[in-house]
Amino acid sequence: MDTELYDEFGNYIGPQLDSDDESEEEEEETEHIRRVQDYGEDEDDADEAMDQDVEPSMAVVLHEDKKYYPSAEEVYGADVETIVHEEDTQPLTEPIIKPVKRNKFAHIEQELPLTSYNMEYLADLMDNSELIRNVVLAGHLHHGKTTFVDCLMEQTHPDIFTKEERQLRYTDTLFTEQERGVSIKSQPVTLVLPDSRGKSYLINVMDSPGHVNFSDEATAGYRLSDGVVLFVDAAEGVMLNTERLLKHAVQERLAITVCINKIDRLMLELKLPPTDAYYKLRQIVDEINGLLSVYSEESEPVVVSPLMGNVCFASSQYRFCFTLQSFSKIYEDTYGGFSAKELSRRLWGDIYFNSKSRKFTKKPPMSTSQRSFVEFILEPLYKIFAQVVGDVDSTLPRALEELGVHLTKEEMKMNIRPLQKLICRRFFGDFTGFVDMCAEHIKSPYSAARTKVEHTYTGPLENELGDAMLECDPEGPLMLHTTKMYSTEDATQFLVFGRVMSGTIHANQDIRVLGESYTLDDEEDSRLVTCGRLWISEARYKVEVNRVPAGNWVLIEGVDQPIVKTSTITEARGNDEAYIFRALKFNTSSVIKIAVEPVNPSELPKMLDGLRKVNKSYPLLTTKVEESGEHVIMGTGELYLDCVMHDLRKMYSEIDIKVADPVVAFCETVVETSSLKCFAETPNKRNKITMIAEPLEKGLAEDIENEVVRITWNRKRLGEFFQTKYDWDLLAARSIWAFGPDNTGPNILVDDTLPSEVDKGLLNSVKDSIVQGFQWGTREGPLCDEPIRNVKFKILDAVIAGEPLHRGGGQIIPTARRVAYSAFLMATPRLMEPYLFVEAQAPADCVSAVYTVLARRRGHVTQDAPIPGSPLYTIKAFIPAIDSFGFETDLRTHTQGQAFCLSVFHHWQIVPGDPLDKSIVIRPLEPQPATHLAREFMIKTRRRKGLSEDVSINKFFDDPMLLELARQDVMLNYPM
Amino acid sequence: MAVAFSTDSSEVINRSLGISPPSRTSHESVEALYEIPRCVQWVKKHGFHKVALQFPDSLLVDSTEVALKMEKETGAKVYILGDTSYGSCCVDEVAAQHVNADCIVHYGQSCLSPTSHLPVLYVFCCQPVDVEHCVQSFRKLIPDQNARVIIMSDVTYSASINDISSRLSQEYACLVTSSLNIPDSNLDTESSTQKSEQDTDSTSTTQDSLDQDNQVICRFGRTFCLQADTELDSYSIFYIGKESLTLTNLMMGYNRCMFYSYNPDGRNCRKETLNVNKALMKRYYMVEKAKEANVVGIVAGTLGVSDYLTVINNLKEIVKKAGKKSYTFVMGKLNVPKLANFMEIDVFVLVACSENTLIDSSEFYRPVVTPFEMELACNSCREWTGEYITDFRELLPGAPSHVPMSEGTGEDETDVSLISGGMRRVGLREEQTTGSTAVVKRDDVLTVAEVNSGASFLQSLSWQGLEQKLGETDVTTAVEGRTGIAAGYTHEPGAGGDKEGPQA
Repeated sequence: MDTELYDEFGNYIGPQLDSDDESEEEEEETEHIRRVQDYGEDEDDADEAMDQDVEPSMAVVLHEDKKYYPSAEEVYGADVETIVHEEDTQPLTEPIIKPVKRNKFAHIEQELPLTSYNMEYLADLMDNSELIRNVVLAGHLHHGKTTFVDCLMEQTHPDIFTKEERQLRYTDTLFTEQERGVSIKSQPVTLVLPDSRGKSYLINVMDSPGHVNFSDEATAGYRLSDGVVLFVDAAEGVMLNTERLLKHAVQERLAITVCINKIDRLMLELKLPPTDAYYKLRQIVDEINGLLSVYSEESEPVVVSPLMGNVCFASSQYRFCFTLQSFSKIYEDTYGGFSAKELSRRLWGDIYFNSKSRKFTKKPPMSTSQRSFVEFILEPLYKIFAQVVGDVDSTLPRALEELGVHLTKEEMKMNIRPLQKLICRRFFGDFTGFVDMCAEHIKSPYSAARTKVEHTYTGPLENELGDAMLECDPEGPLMLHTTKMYSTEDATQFLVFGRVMSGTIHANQDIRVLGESYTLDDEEDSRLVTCGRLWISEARYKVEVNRVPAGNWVLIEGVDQPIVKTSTITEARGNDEAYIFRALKFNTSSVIKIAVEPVNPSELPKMLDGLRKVNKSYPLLTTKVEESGEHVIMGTGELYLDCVMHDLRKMYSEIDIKVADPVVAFCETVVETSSLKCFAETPNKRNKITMIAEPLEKGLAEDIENEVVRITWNRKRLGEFFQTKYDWDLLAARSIWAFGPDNTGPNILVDDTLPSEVDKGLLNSVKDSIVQGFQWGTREGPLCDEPIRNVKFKILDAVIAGEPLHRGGGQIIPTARRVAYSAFLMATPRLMEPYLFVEAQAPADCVSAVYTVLARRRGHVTQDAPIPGSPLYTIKAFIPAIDSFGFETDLRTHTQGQAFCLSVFHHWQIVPGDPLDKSIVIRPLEPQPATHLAREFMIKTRRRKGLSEDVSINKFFDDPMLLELARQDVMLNYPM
Repeated sequence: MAVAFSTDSSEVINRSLGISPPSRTSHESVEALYEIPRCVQWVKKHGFHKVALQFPDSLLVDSTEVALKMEKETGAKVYILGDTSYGSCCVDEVAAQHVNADCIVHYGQSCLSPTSHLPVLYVFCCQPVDVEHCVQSFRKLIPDQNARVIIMSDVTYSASINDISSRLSQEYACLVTSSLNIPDSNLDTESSTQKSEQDTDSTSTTQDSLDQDNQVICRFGRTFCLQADTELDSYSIFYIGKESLTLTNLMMGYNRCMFYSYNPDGRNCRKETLNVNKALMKRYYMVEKAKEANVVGIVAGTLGVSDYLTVINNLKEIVKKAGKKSYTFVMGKLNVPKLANFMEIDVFVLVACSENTLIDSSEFYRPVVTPFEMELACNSCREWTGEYITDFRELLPGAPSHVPMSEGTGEDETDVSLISGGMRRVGLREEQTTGSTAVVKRDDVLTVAEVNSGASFLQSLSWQGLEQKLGETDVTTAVEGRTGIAAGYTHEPGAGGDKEGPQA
């Protein structure tokens, strides 16, 4: 036994560390050096060393000056950094030299994949704006938009194919999208697709997310497109988001086409007989037409119909898509002797084929006759499916023979599903029907330019620039509208995505980026930058181009810095007359908010940087600092905020972030007219303003917010609007002073004074100040500093000092705010909360569970009805946003995952109870009865914002006003 | 016209302030409370001829008596400084200079900010503290005898602090007592409690000599000394005194520490519940507001605290570097109408002593921020860490908390506003010297025309009456003009104010 391996107590200590290998830690440096020295002496290469010793200097060397060992530098050379640690402070788990970490958050292909067309051809097509179609695919969640794009990708990219077990989801590039199985971002792809005659079109397809929370992404896609393909699941029919997106598309003036997807579900899942399947399909088309006539503002609403060719049928899963015409073409190619177009016109509706006379008739020739659509389209389709699902070995080969589809032996051995897919794909061929539909019913950027530009551009069109945009002129001055930003795969920078409206953008060109607040008068928000490379986006790969002419979509590098949400890009100089394109107008709003703060306070700058980036990435996200000093993120819903937080924590800042419980935005309002005229005097006692507050007419607040009426209209037009639509009298309608808190704010200030009583000249001289006081007041209401909503403030009387000295802004503004507050408080103030609209699908036996869950969260059902042709029920309900957190999970738990719901902001509703009732005691951790809710919300909001516990009412009243109140016993409810 | 109002406009001038008239101190106790012998001795020793006595509003009732006594005993000319333009905690040197006083005796509550010119004697008008009760409350509130506690007090209770701490230090091992730091002026200034001053001296000397590694912390006019290996954060602070600006100020300054307070008047003791973090975060919002501003109004809120001019100049500098415009205002005590008169200003910065600098500006049309917040907003090198500085002198070059101004790269830096969500520009903006927006000298009238913000607002205003109308106006004989002040000339009907204009 080698005793050296053991200590004096017999414990094993191992061999001497001397024999360690070279790559030990630095702290052993000294030892290492000694070892080097030792070797030097031991071995016989010490000649040089000896040389040094040959001539020892005779000088006396002091002990402390003697050098026994060479320094680290002498051993390792000057260019090696040596560090000596006394103690190892680095944990074992941490490598000494960290590998370079590469963040990757998205699927990206490194090289250009093989395509069925030449890339140069694609680039050449970009110059011909007549052959371009900018299309957005929109529809409800899981109605097959992404899978449809996969089909298109498979057709054009021979190397891309779906693996059997997993869906490809080519346009869901982010890992999170793949993991969640839901699209989060709108993703553009540019493809060259042939129509049924073999003519190639450049189709720019935007695959938008179907979840209502992400309808802001769809909005961004709408803005850049000329038409929409609305996807409807054949089995589920028109759903919540289908309807919303349809409405939005009408508002955005897009051409509308429909794709009824997943028709295989009618056969395989619902097992409907062909006749019922036809009714189901027709019901969907009818419902869409019904919605179109409701939402359309024009006298003749757009109609969609398979006969017109703007409805196509598809099954993304089984890889086929047809229109009536493309199906007829199959008949034509097989039998010949008639025109596919003529046939297609007889394949929808109550038309029957008389096989004896070989004519189409309006009446069924026999009682058993089927409609032509059933006979010529559905039945053959059913047969193909039945053959494949049925006996594959015996009858299928013969049937395939008949169809002219040839399969190899290998292919015949495939499983049913891929086999079905293969057969359908061979039989129906490419998606020419889809291309036909886009080419025919969606205008090219050239022909759609007028609609698009008129709808989005803020400036005049009667000039050179306007002409260039209307002509979609690639030679004109550059105008480019961007609506989205995509982060690169490592999330370090953003690529800006937009559409060239006129002119041509070149790589490395100097350009001017105009932000959303840019106007000709205020040029603050404009920046000169040089753009980097340009690409055509293909979801997972990009095609670099050196110029992009008008009408196309483009990804731009290096210009993201000055852009917050959308922007207008124009020539660096020369094009000084350029106005901007309107900011996006969304069909939903951000009402759910969470407050975030870094766990480690010193990481605040990192978090701010992260917030800046998520703000760029999500079109409707708002990040701001509230009066309480909290960083607040506002989004459309839980899923939305969840995605934002993921991006913030993982992609953009990599720090730990604390999140406060989600809360909602509130509003303050009144429900009655002020019980007495409220007045306030300015501190110098030279001016006195009298006001009352009352609720606005129903619908008016929404009209203002949706800019149906604008304060910038001239007095006459404004007056007419209020007189006709809301029955205001002429005097009031003509004397609207302002909306508040801003030009689209849902409150109105009206001058209701009489010229006989009030000096109008004087009053007008302080109009600006009063309006400012009013807007200041409505921005932060007296209850809990939330904005005021739906209130009309009327100036009833005003005494204004004659001398300008005595009626300065300093006197009037705070007084106007104070009197607005007192009028507000006298008019039975209430709190408002956002309500969500919920649409849930559940099987019949789960409907009662949905009711239970809703009832527990103050929700109420407005409608529940069976979905035609399916065993499911649709339940429509309203639920307060504040009680909706976790609703979806709750619902799924209670129905064993059988119910599925989506919710979206719908309207503001008054919270029950009086927020100022001091008799209510709010006990912690106890649910409050309904009548206490307003009080509870108000007090908790005030606490969160660090305001005093209760509203101090007398702050807003002058002393004489208080006396008046006391005399009239008005304030009994409100102890001072 | 005046009928419409609930009260006549002259009421403003004759209005009595909402201060409950304090009871007079009895003859016997005046001598002791105002420490007259010590004042007399101080005045005599230095041979001052003109003595200014500064009283806060609450002590003004006794002022004549004190003044008479002082005059009789010293033989010097004594002036009473009444209504101070700013907070009564600051020494009002300007008022004293009106009478060319040689020195000031400052009575009552003080923020202990150093002064620049005159010698000052602080008399705190010490109130008695029930030491026994206080000690008991302390025991009840902080039962843990190893707790690290710093004892601080309001200046008016400073006389008792040593008594209390000596009684407590027997039980509590880690007790630290703060002592008042009487600001030094160019002539020797003395405090009312000689004892405490000696303490300061002795502690500072012992600190210097004995334990070098102890950390001496000297802020807000208070000095204390922590053990070397302890962090300030681990201490809690026991404050003797009423709820006041001083307490708020201390709590903001030491916002990581737990606060307890003992109110000698009400004889009650409590854990301070003012949520400092909330208050602090509200100030953070102010910083964001300040970042947003294009035009900054610098308001002088003190004329006594030394270095205030340096701070104002410093502020002007950083505001300019941040590409904003600044104006300077002197307006006495702040109120809402006064500030709202300057609509083109986006944010006001109040330069005042540390106790008056925090203003809850929710009632103001534009936010009012502190110099520290303004610097946070303009200087990208300074970051929000949760540390808060109320004393502006700590921001000056050479002071511990000074952070040099970030050097702008000269290029456009952009930042997303966290208030409006829009894009904003940070850093120095190069003024364009060409084009129509340049500064234009018009004729010989010095008119600056710039199409931007404040200037454009002013441009939209119009005036008349100054143009020369040669030959257009008839020649008239001289008539008697109006008399009185602009707020109400004597001949105007209903103008009751013939002595003084309305406030603001």
